[in-house]
Amino acid sequence: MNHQKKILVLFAHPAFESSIINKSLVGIIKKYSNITFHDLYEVYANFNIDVKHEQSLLLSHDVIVFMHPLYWYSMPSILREWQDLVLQYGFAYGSEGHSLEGKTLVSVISAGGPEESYQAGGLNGVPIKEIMTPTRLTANLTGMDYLAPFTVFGAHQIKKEISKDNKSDDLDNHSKKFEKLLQLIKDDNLDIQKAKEVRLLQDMIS
Amino acid sequence: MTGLFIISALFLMTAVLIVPFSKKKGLGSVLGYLIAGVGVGLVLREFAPLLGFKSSEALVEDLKHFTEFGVVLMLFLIGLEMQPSQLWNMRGAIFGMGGLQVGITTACITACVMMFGLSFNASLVIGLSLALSSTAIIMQTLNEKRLINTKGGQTSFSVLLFQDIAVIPIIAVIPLLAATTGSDGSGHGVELGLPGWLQAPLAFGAIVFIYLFARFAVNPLFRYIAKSKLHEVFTTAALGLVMLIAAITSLFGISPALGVFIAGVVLSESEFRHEIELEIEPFKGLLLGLFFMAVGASFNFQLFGAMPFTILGLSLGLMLLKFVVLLGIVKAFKVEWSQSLLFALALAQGGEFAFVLVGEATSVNLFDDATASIIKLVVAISMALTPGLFILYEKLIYPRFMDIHSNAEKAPDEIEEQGQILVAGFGRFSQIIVRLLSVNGFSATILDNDPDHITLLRKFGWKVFYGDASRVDLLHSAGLDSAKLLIVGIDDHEKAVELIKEVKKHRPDLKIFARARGRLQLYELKSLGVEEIYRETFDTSLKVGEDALKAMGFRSYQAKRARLLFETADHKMIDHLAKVWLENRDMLIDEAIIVNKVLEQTLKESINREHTWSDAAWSSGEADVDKSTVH
Repeated sequence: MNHQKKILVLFAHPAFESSIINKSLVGIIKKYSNITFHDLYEVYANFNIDVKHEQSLLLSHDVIVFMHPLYWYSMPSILREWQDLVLQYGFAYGSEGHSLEGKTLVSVISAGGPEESYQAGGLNGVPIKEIMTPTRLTANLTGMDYLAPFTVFGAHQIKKEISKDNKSDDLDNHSKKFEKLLQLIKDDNLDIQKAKEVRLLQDMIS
Repeated sequence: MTGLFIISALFLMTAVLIVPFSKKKGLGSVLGYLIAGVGVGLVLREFAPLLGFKSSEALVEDLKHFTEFGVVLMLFLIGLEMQPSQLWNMRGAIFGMGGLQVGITTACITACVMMFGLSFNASLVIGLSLALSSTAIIMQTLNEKRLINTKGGQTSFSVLLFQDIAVIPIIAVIPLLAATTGSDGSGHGVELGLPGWLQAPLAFGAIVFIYLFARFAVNPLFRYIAKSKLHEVFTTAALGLVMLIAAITSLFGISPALGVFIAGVVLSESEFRHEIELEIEPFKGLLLGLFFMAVGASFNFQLFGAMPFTILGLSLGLMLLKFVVLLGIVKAFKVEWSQSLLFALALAQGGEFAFVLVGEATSVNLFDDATASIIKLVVAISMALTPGLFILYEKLIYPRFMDIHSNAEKAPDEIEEQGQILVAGFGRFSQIIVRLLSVNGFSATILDNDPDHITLLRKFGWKVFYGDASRVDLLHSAGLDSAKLLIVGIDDHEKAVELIKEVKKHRPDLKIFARARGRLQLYELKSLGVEEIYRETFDTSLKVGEDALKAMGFRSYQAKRARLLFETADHKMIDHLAKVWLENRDMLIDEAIIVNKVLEQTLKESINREHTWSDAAWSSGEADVDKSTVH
């Protein structure tokens, strides 16, 4: 029996006002009134995270999305702060900490370099899935399923295309796949096992 | 005396009955006044002698002369709203288009009139008189319909301005065209009997004097008056100023409207601008309305009855000719169609200057009274038809262009002089706010009521306006209707409350940020619905507290978290106590004591919790003022 999954998007972008890719993806999210869009840098400009509030948000959703640009092979600092404060011992892990078990965690990432650079032999030398290991381990410890990351590569190139022609086929393709994925997840039609095994989450969409 | 009361009541009450009705029906106020005037004129014709007046015609003429001052006031206000730089940008339209319009229209009309058999000189004067349009009707209607900031509106204004300038040489030229050399001949009151060649340089001199006077004498004068803090003296001064300038200019043969316009432009940068606008506006409104009524009342029904089709034909012919010439000129300047049509329809009528010039002409016997009466009637009818043309534009023309160009249609250029941010009170509190905004590209309209303070601030280059910001009509003048944010930085709490109450009435949707001296003031402001309230010393004190913790040995980030914790808890407490203040005021002190105790307790607990964290995810600890434990 498929019931709707409640999705919580934890969005971390310190300069959203000048973003292009994330703006496009967020636009898609905002079309769905039953996806919770939580803009961390907007709500907590002073990094004064309201832990109780964040924990209750986690409890009331099934799928947690970390959505952010890739900064130095990791995430913008507020999302780090968020994890440090919110995933408390006794809440997220530990002998009494089972609140997140069974939920799903997925990363939605925008990366500057092209896809080819994120592999052995490329400039970054390592695939995205491997870069996101700390997040995967965090999911493991808290009992969550970590899916392959949905990644928009070539952010620099896309930005150039947009500023020249005001459109980018690459971005359009990614956006379409992103929307399909959201729908699949929301309608609980995603093969979780397969989604963990693929290289990148967009590979789930042919 | 009674007669005067009766006549005044007649005029005023007729206006009160008819004008709102006409406005509601979409006919605009000008048409309403004209119609009201016609009605009053008919009544006066019957009853004026009974009330002890020589004749209704003389009465109405007197009224017209008196209320023409309304037109002068209107031009002054327009000047105040305009910045010198804007005016400079318009010089092409003013002299180029204006010059062409007056020139070509005059030529065409002169030619037509000569075909009726009048002499060249007489025809020329008639041509010049009819080439000009009615500043009063056009500006009033454009303002009312909010078309003033469109291309069509701005172009109309430029040409009208040129016409105002053109009146000077025209009046000078009329006696020269007279068949007989006229004596001073004007029925218009005082004029210096100056030889022709002296007129121009003296007129120029008068304008220079007005410029200097407005630039250097007015501000110190108003500062002196403002210090007296007597409101009515300020009003008197504002009116007196306009009258003075009007007097000087007309003494030297310049149109007073032009003179006060120039003074207005010079004063548009003054700190007293908004206050002056405020004082003059009601007088202008009243006098202008009465002027239109007088025009309506002067409608010569007898003459019209004698040759209705001729007169009507002449009026329509005049308007058609002007329309065609105007359209041709404005299209030659490559203005877009919808704006060009607006311009051509707006200026197609004859104006109040025609009455003046025709009067001059008859007094030097250029043509006879009968001709003069016909001309005046033709002009009056064309003026009466003008509001109808605007309605035509609105209902038929504009919608068509909106459809065709609805994607490409640019919003009419709003002159962004009125800031989207209003700041009331410009002391230490507001100054820093404005500086931060300014550095990030946002300008604000700032009001303060201490003239000395303003003088000092202006030295620093701040554009501060004088006025008691707790008066909402001043705020309207400063742009309340289009504001996005109001910052109340006034330190006088009572005044601030007054102001906020009024603003909430007129613009309940406007976001307000207000300064509060302390908690009690905060509670009151919160009850008024103010969106954000800032206790004057709160943030500063928190900063000192945070630094004090550090001085006593806390690490920076530790001190910061402690501060944030305290701050959040304090906000929750304030919200709770604000409710108590509103609903259960006598309990306030007891509540406050209890809540404070709980706050201290929970803060201490959370800090203790912090000291015992292991190397798991550390917790900032949340101070939770549980309201149910308060009682």
